[in-house]
Amino acid sequence: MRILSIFLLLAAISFTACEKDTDENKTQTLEIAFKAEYNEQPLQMYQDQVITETGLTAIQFKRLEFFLSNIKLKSASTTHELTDVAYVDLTSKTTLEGATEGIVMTYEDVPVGDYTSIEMGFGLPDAVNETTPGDYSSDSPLAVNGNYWASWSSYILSKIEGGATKSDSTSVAFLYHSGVNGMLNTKEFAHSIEVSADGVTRLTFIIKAEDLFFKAGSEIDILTNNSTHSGAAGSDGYNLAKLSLDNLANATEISHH
Amino acid sequence: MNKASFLLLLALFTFVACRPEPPVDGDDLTDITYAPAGYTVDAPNGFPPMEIPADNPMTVQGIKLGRHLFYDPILSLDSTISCSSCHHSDKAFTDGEVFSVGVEGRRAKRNSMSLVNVGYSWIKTREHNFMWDGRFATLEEQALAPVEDFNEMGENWENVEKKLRNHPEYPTLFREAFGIDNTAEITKYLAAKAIAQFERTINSAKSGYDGDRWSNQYMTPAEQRGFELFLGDAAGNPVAKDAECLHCHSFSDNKALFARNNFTNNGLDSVASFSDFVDKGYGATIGDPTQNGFFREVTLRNIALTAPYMHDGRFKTLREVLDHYATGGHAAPNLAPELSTSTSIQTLTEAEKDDLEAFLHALTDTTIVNRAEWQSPF
Repeated sequence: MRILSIFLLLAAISFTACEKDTDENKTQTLEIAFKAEYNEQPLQMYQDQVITETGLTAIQFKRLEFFLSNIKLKSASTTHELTDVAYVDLTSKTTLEGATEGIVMTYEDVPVGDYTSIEMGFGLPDAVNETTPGDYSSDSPLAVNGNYWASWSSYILSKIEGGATKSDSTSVAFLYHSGVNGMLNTKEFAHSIEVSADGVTRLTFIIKAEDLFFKAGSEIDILTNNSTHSGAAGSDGYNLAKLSLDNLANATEISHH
Repeated sequence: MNKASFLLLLALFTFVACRPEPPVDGDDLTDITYAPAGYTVDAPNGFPPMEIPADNPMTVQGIKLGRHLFYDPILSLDSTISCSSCHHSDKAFTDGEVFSVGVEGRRAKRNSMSLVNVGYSWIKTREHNFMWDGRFATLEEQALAPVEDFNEMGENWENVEKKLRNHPEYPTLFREAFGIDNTAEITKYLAAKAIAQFERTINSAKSGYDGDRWSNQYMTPAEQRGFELFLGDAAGNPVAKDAECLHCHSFSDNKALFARNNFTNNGLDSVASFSDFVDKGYGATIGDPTQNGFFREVTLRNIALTAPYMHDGRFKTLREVLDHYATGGHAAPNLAPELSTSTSIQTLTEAEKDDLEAFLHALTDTTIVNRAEWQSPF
């Protein structure tokens, strides 16, 4: 009996000692960085980018900002929502250092684990668009009057502003503000994402700014369509605004570096 | 000494002996009751509840102290200038000057800004909220500045603190507002907190526009036409003529500030490069040359009361302002794209400008002019 007891005790100790240290219920911090690049170089606002598109010799961005919504980490077995609304504002990135750094959004308490994709909406769901700035505390991007367009009863989902130099050396300014219900563009980025218990994980997204205007099949002709404040669904203004937002979503890639 | 002289001297001694001694540094104040009464800002029509910094809760006593300080020239070098010298209630708390007059006739460097609804300009996560160049994050920070501005009050806070500690009334007011135990605890920071509390009570939303917003009967046809131009294509018609006002003077029904609270170059000056701006404004504040010449977009509420206009007071009338915007703004490398991409702003007719001007007048709340609680307590 005594030998059996000793054997059982040893077995129990061995079992405990060999039990795998699980990450279940552990959390860590996840950072999501956004940067803009032009031809794979950090995009500085107010800096000319040389281009060769028809009729233009240079393009300069002065404002690039947009809403993101329902950012989620996904795996086959689970989904973890990081936030319902975020705002990416790269307008202040006027120096090389700033443009290289981009902006970083930090999310605490993310369950440790392996995820297979991250999903986010470019723009806002219609239900959020029904709300107005007075509904929010001033630390929310939804509280900012300047992000709202009163009589469309809509947030301004994205703002892309700047100017271009024409072949004849004159300039043309551009302004594309998307808004109005129905514009939300949800995109899922397939990527192996390990939120490790060992430290902060960072995901970096790159906006390829040249694709906002010049990607084959979704070009925006700055010379003929240099401005939109959106508009009623189906109108030219709406379609141009929607295209600018879709281009923004499609120009965004997850960095594999 | 005759009998009359003797009596006069006796009376003088009696007067001096009976006059209360002013408190001196370190005087104990704990005999004075400290029972602060919480105060909730009445959100005007269409405004959300005002956000208040956690370290400066509003109290009746704090507001009372702030009102006294706001109207008291004790803050200035020669006791001639108070906050109210540059912020008159009948001018929506501006002063009608191009550049405000400070001590010894000196002139401030920029135009006085309206204080109406100023508490709503605080965005708690932002470092740059107040003044034309956004150099202050909070009203409390801002309230400290004029005292030591050479061109405004020309004083220093060390002297002001001494004056307040030795004043016959302020130690009591500070005790009642902040519960200090002795006069030595009177500081510039408490003074600024009190002034900020008073400023947060100055709110207005009883204009013709507001009346119309809630009952559709106050704005005239000209004002309504002006409002439609103000909204432009945002009014639901993409081909509507657009005066492009809404970009910078934005609002929503439940946050009708008519201000985006951003900084922008609204095309006042033609410059070839960022360094050519005489007054660099927000760019100097944040150390970013691309933002030189950017200034705060002000609220349009009560704008008809706040002439002259712009950071340098260059426009005497609203019409001059409209005439400026109708040019599309002067060329600059950072001219607001809202102006440089506009297709219709340069085609505004004189009649349309009349309508826009009428609408701007419809944003005036005449009830602010004589509100008793905002007047001098002296």
